[in-house]
Amino acid sequence: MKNKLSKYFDVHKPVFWPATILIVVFITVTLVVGEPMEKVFAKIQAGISDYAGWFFVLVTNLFLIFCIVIGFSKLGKIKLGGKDAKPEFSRGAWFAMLFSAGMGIGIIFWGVAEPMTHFLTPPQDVENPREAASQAMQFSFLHWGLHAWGIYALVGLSLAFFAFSRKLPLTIRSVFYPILGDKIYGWIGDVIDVIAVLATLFGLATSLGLGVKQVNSGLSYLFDIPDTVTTQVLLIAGITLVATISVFSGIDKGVKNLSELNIRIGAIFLIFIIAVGPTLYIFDSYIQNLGNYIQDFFSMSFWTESYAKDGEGGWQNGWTVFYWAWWISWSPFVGMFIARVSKGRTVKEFITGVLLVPTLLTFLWMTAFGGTGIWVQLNEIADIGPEIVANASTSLFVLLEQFPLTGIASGIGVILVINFFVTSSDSGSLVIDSITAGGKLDAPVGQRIFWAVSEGAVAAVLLVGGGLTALQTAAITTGLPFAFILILMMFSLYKGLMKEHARNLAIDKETDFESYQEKLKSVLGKRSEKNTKNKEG
Amino acid sequence: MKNVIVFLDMSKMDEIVLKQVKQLEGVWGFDKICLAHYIELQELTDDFSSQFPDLDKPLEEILEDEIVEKATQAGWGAEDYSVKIHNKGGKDDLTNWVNTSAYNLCVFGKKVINPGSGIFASKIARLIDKSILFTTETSRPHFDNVMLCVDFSTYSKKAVKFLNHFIPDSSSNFSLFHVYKVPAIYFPFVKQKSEELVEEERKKAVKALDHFRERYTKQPQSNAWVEYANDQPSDKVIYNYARTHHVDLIVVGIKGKSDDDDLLIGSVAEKLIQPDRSIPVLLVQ
Repeated sequence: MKNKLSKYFDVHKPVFWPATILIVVFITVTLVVGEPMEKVFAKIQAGISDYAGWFFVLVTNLFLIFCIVIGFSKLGKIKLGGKDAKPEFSRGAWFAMLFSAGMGIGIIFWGVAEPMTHFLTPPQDVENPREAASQAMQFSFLHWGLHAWGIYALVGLSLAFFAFSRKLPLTIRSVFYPILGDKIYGWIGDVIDVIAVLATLFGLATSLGLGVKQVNSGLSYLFDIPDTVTTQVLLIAGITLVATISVFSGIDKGVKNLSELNIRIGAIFLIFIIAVGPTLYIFDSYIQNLGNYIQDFFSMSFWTESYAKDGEGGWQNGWTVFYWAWWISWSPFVGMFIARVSKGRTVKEFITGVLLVPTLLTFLWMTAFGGTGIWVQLNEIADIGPEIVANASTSLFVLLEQFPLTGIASGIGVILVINFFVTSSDSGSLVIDSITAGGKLDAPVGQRIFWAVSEGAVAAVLLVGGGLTALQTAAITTGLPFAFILILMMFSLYKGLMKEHARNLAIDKETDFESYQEKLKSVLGKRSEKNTKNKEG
Repeated sequence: MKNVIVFLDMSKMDEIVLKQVKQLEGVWGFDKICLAHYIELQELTDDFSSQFPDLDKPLEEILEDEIVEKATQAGWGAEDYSVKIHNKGGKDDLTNWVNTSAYNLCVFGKKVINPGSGIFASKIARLIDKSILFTTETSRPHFDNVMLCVDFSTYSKKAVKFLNHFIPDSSSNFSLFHVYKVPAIYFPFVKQKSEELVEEERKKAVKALDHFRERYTKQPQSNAWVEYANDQPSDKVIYNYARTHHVDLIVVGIKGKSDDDDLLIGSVAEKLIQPDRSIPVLLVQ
């Protein structure tokens, strides 16, 4: 009986149950309280970002600096998976996979909306629209650039190192082995994993919530379907069902193909906008934006809105702080993905690849979509700004309206988001499932379905309980405790890498082959002599 | 459980080590003994094998026969031990095997008189996380006088636990030893290390060591020795003290209090296992 049950249900109970109970409690409370929850969410969000904003700004910078220092120190030579590990994928394929890690619901949702919003309401004082445009792109780059990937690189590198080089289970608690030792298998490890599960789930739900809002806007744009929370909840139910069926029927391969297809559609979409949009302007501004980003890197990274007039600040809380918390909260998700494909890479290669490849791609996407939006507005081709500010989820479709093949392009946009929804939900549930099953990779399908449904449910409940604010609150609230875990992770990874470095030095010490050969010769000679004697005798 | 791996290197030293371990077994009592050899060459060259045309068996089996022969000569019965010849996968694989096995003590013969580099042993010592005993040609394998070096770190506590487990009560004289120093923080202010300061530190050290003895050891009558370092490195103080007090086994934690994270083995432990030091050493993980 027990065996039969474990075919569908094989969890690490001290992680699975607390996480599940907390999620159920959260869903129930939000549903029972109903509308007033929106105010509660807003209060929590404001509270955390008012008091902990500086902390998020500080730690994201720390994570990034840590990664760069580690990557270019003597530790950079360490190979993930041991000295003799060979990379599983060719460099080209690896780059492609890092690219795909950078693609997702997020940049499709915010790609147009974010630069446009910054352009229309500049975060820092500007003198003319041109300056506003340049600043808007700079802030978008800041939020989607190296800092985000510094967080993912930290988590990904830690997971990869402890899973491949130390052969520990692929779960967050393993990363703390150098600090906690065997205690990672005890209650502390359980607590770490529970926080990781909640952070991932809420971070993912934020993504899914944004995605479904955008799908709804797209459908309402294309087919006049009402843009309401009810539709969105129904959509979540429908898409989650599709994702679930695809998991259940065992077509994992199908999901894999789907996500590959997705990357291709995304790429075509990007090329499309570059082609039909202001091509030269996009390339020009890509280069210029990169330069601006590098030039103002430090002052922007450490900017905390300190000198804003009383009552005027608060811009950063809704944007930068939200992003930092969001990236932190779902870093186990992205981290686990990049860890899995990076066996056999050196630390230096890993850091360089993970920091640069997706960042450059995201920047191109931002410039192509958001920059084009700004171009439309700046050159007074159309006044798309107010509509975008009023409802960010329509921004992509409002922009596409300005270019040929609007209907087809918008349709592809919707399909792209749905597709990303399905694949994110599927791979997200795989990650959470693996953590709640104690690091197993082949946990039963039933559990994955459970988590896919939970993600959908949390996303739906968040939308019901307060829309975008609720989604952002979820990311910030779970990001905060996980940020502390990431700080510990830095120490732990450093310790682990230092030890590995010392080990490698020890192994490299030359073996005294000659004296060993001598010894071997004397043994073999004795044997050989004996045999000869036996034969003669 | 007292499970032991004895590493043999196919030299003359093996016979000595096998005899010593056999004697030690009579005193300490082992549950399981494995005689192991690691083939340091990845592959035999044709040139090398062509020198021995009359070999009828693969290398592993020949070496196994050799070990069995040596063990028999040293008075071992066939049921006393198992043999492991490690060939595939390099040192990484060897250390993995040791670390994941149920053995909790490794024995190496350290050549003090006979020539030998000792590179293999000192390298493996860094890579495995089991306790290691280095015996020498001149060891008295009864280990009547055991001296545990205490620096009050967690490694000292682990070491004492290990001894409580491995050495039967009253089989040897047991001494605790602590090297004390005058903390460097006083120096900019106190130019000369006054005798009062040293005396004060000595009192503190004695008190701490007494406390440690009462709390952790099973032998309440064991000695508690303290010695002032007087600017000498700890390993030298330990070694000289052990020599003059006829100690025949020095026990230290593999790391001490002040060791950096990137070192796999503490500096004191490292120095004590150098080839020119003839007293056997037990490094406890």
